[in-house]
Amino acid sequence: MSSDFVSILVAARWGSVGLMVIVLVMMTYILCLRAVLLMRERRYAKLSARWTPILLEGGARNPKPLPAVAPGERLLLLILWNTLRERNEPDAGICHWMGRVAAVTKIDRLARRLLSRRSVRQKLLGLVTLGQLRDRLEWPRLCQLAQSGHPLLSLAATQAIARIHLNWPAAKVAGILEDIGPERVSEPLARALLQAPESHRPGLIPFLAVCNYSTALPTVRQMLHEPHADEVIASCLHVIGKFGDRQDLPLLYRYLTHSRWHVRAVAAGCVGKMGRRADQEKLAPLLADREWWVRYRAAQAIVGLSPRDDQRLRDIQSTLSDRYARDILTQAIAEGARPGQSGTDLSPTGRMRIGAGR
Amino acid sequence: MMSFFLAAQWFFLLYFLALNAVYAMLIFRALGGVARYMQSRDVAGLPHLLGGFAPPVTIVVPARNEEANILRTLHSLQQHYPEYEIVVVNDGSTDRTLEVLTAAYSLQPFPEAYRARLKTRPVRAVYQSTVDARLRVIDKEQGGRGDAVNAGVNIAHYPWVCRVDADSVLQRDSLMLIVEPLLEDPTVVACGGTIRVANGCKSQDGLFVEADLPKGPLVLFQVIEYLRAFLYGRMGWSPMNAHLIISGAFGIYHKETFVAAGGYRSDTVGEDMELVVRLHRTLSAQRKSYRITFVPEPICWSTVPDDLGTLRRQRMRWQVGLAESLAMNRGLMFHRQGSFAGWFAYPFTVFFEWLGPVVETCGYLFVIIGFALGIVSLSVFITFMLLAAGFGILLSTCALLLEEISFRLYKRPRHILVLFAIAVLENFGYRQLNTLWRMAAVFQHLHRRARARLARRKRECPA
Repeated sequence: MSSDFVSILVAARWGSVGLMVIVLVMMTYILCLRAVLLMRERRYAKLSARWTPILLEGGARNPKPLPAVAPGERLLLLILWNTLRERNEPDAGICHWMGRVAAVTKIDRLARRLLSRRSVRQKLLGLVTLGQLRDRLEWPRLCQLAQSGHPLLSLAATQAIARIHLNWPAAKVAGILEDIGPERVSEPLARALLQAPESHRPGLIPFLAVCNYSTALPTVRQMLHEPHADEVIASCLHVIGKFGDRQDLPLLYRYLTHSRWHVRAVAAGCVGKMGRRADQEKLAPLLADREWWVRYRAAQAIVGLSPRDDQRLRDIQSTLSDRYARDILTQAIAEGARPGQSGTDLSPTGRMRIGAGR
Repeated sequence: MMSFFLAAQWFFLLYFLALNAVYAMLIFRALGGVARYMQSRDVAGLPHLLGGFAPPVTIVVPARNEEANILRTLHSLQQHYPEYEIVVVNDGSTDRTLEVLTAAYSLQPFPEAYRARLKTRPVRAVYQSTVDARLRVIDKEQGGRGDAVNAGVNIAHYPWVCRVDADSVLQRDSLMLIVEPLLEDPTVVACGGTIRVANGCKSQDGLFVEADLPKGPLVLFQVIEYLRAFLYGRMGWSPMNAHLIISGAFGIYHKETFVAAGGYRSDTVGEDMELVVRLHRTLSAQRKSYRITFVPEPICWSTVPDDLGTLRRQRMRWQVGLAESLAMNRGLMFHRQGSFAGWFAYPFTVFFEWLGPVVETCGYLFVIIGFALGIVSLSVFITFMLLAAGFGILLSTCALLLEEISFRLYKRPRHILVLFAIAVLENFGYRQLNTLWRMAAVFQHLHRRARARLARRKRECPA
C-alpha cells in the first residue's frame, strides 16, 4: 500500500468520524428547532385564545378595555392581527376596529420598525401590515422598497402602496372607474390611451368598457384605423363587441381574415354577437380555420345567429366539405342545445380579461 | 493484482468524492432555494397577491382500471381555483371505471370536435357530464398513461394542462400553488409539484387532511427517500433550470409547448422524465428562453408500495425509464446550447444515477472480495463501510433539516425521532437492496437493447 494511500486512509477515517459528529450535531439542532417551535406555538395559541375574540368584536358597542401586550408578544400579535385581518377583509366594521386595536397596542409602530430590519421575512410582515392599515407615514420608505432589487420586497411594497393609494390590481381599478362614473372617467382615459406607449395599450383598452359609448367607440375606431400590435387590435375588437354597434360590422369583417388567429377568433365572436343571419356566410369559411379556437368561435357565432333553427344550421353543415368544419359545428350545435351550457364562458380571446396573465 | 486493486481503490474513492461533492452542492442550492421560497410563501400565502391572475387550466387524469379510486380522485380535484376544466381519459379499462363515472356524473355522449394534434390510440367516444359542466371524459383504446394524457391534451380548451394521476391525493389549494411559478416568470413552460408519501396520512373524500408516518419500515424508508429526492434533489437542480423530471403524479405544462414537443412518448416506461429531458433538448437547441421549474411545497400525496415485490418492480421500472429517457435524448449531453441541463444535470444523471448502481455494487464487491483475499485490510474495510453509511446518513439528515426549516409536515416530536432512526437504518440493507434492483434493471435494459439491435440487423440482412 503506498504512503499516499495510507495518508488518504487516515484522512478518510477521521472524515468518517467527523461525519458522524456532524450528523449528531445536525440531529440535535433539528430537535432544538422543533422544541423552540413548539414553545412558540404554545405561546401563540395562548395569545390567539386571548386576542382573537377581542380583535373580532368589531361590531360590539362597548368594547372592553384592551389587555396589556408584553413587548415579547407584540410580534406574535402582529402575525395574528394580519391573519385575522386578511380573513375578515369584507367586514368593514371588524377592519376598522382592528385598525384601532393596532394603534392602541402599538403594533403599527412595530410594523414601521420592521421595515428597517435586516430580515426579509420581517420586512415583508411590516409591508403587508402597513398596506392593510393604509398607513402613509412610511410612504418614502415604501417607495424605496418598491424599487429595491429584491423581487419579493418590491412586490410586497408595491402591493402595500396599491392598497394605501389606489387598488392597482386591474379588476379593482375597473371597479373604481365604474364607481367614479363614465362621465368623469371617459375623456381622461381616452386621452391617456391615445398618448400611451404601444406596450401599455393592451392593458388600458379594456378599461374603455367602463367609459361612455360616445367616447369609447370613436377612440377604438380611430385606433383600428392605424397600424397596431395584434394585442391592441384584439383588445379594441373586444370593446367594439362590448358596445355592439352594428355600424362597426364592416370593420369587424376585415379582421375575420387577419393573419393572427386570436384576432380572427375575437372578430368571429363579435360578429356572432352583433351580426345578422346573413353574416353566417362570412363566418362559414372560418369553420375550416387551421386554429381550433377560431373554428370554435366561428361555430358558436353561427349557432348564435340562428338560435333554435336547427334546420338552417344543418343546411349550413351540409354545404361544408371539411370534416373539421362539420365536427366543430356539430359540437357547437350540441352545446347550444344543452340547457345552461352555451359554451360562452370563454377563455382564449372569448372574454375580456382585465389584467390577465400570460 | 495489487496494482489493479490500487487503481480500483483510487477509482472508487474519486467516484465517491465526486458524487458527494455534487450532493453537497445540491444541498447548498436547496438551502438557499427553500429559504427564498419560505420568505415568498409568507406573502404569497395571502390570497390578494394572486387573486384574478391565475390562468385557466385543463386537468387531465389518465385512468386505467381505476373504478375504486376515480371518484375519490375527482373529488380531490374540486379545487379552490378560479377557472379550470377536468378531462378524465379512460384508457381502455377492463373494469367498471367508465360505468362508475357515468353513474356518478351522468355522462352523455358528446359530439366533441376531436382534433388529433398528438397521435394517440383510437378514441371511442367523448362524454360530457350533465351535472358538472367542467367535466368531460374520453373513452379510448389502451395506449398507456402517456398516450392517455396526449388524448386529454388534444381536447384541452385551456392554455395550461395539468396532469394528475388517478391515485394521487391533492389539497384544495394544490392547483393554485403549482401555478405560482407561471405567474412569477413568463418563461416557465412546465412545473412539477412535490410528491410525498400518502401511506399513513389522513385524508377525507380524496383530500389530504393531516400528515402522519406509516407503520411498516419499508414505507418509512420511502418517506425518507421522497424527502431527499424532492427537498434537495429537485430543489437543488431547479434554480439552475436543470432538473430532468416532473413526476407524472402531478405536473403542469404549457399546452402549446407540450404539443410542439410531440407530447408524451408511448414507447417508454418513463414517459414523464423523457418528456422533460426532451423539452430541455429541443428548447435549448432552438435557443428559446424557457424554464422548467418546481414547487417545493408538498402539494400531492401518492401511495407507495408496501411490499418488496411491488417496490422492486417500481424501482426497476424507474431505472429503465431513466435509461430510456437518457438514451432517447443523447443530444442534450454537452450540447452547445444545453446550459446546466446539458452540461451538468445530464452527465451527472448518466454517471451517478444510471451507472451509479453498477459502480456502487462493484465497490461493495471489491471491498468484500479484497477483504476476503486479504488485499484490503480490516481498517480499510471498516473505513469504507463507515464512510458509505456516514454520507448516507448525512444526506438524509440534511433532508430532515430542510424539512424542519420549511414545511414541518410531521408534527409530533415522535415523528422526528422515528425519521432519525430510519435515516440511520436505511443504510444497512435497504439502500444496498435498492442498488441491486437498479443494477439488475441496468443490465436488463442493456440486454433488451442488444436483443432489439440484433433483431433489427436480422431484419435488415435476413441472409
